[in-house]
Amino acid sequence: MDTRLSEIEKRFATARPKGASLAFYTMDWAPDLAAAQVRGKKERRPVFFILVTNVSAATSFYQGHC
Amino acid sequence: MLELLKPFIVTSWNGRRLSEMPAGVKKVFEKGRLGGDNVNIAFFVLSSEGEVLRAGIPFVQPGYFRMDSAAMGADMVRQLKDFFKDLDIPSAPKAPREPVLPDITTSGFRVFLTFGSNKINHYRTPVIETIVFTPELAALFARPKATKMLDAAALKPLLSVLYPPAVMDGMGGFRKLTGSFTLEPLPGEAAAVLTGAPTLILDDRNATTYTGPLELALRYPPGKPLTARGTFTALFPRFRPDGEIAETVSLTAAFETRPA
Repeated sequence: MDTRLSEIEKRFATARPKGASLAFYTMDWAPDLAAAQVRGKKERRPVFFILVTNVSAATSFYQGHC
Repeated sequence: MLELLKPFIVTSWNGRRLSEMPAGVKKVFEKGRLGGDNVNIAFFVLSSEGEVLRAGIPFVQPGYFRMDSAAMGADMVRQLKDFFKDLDIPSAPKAPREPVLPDITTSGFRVFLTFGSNKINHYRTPVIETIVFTPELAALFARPKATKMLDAAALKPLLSVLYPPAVMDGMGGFRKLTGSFTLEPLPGEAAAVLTGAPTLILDDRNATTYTGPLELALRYPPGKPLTARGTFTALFPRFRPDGEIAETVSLTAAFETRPA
């Protein structure tokens, strides 16, 4: 039996973040402003919108980038 | 800070410059009357009907706080409390909310990037990237009948997300991705392993370079989609403005196929 599969999967399990380190993702994120506004209207809830410009990379705040 | 944002549906828009704003974002930005054409970060509160109730530019100056994350966090809480003052915000749901992670609706990979401690206290939140299986990528990861060699170009969609945040002088990409990989079927098992050691060179001024082992365990359960799990680990240098290396920071990526 080749043990490499289980060894790699063990290292994956250690490397995958869990628990409190994922607290950022407990916020009620919507993927974009349009989706947030649709949900806001439907659920009668306010929207908190963060606008970020970064000339070096148009990355996603929602995915943990700054 | 998360407690303060609990009543809200939270969303963001990221672009290289304001001129890239899509129409819906531009409309909100203009209603916020923040002015200027070089806003780095701005906050807005919209009512459930989409009306802009408040707009502001937070004070975010790590240098002012001497990179003290606790001080920066406390000040951001103070700023948000001021920002929300006198707004009629509904109370937050009482039940704790489980993390909802960035995901894809089709098949592909989700990648978690975590980083070791560092002097400027960056990277405290894991970055989560997603990679949709293109037909080419799906074919690449089809169950191999024999060992095959792959080059970095074939794995570019996976390697391209192994990018540390907060690289201030790059353009978010790579000058070069190199390395060779082995995809090896395991005898007697519906499984394979992919191993290799890519070298990644960022497109920043210092051509930040890092390399390390990448490994994936691939399982091909009969009648079910591929499941793959694996890691990439490396140390990357962070440079001072004078080009000297200030420190090295560990980068760990955890790959998992989606849907699970």
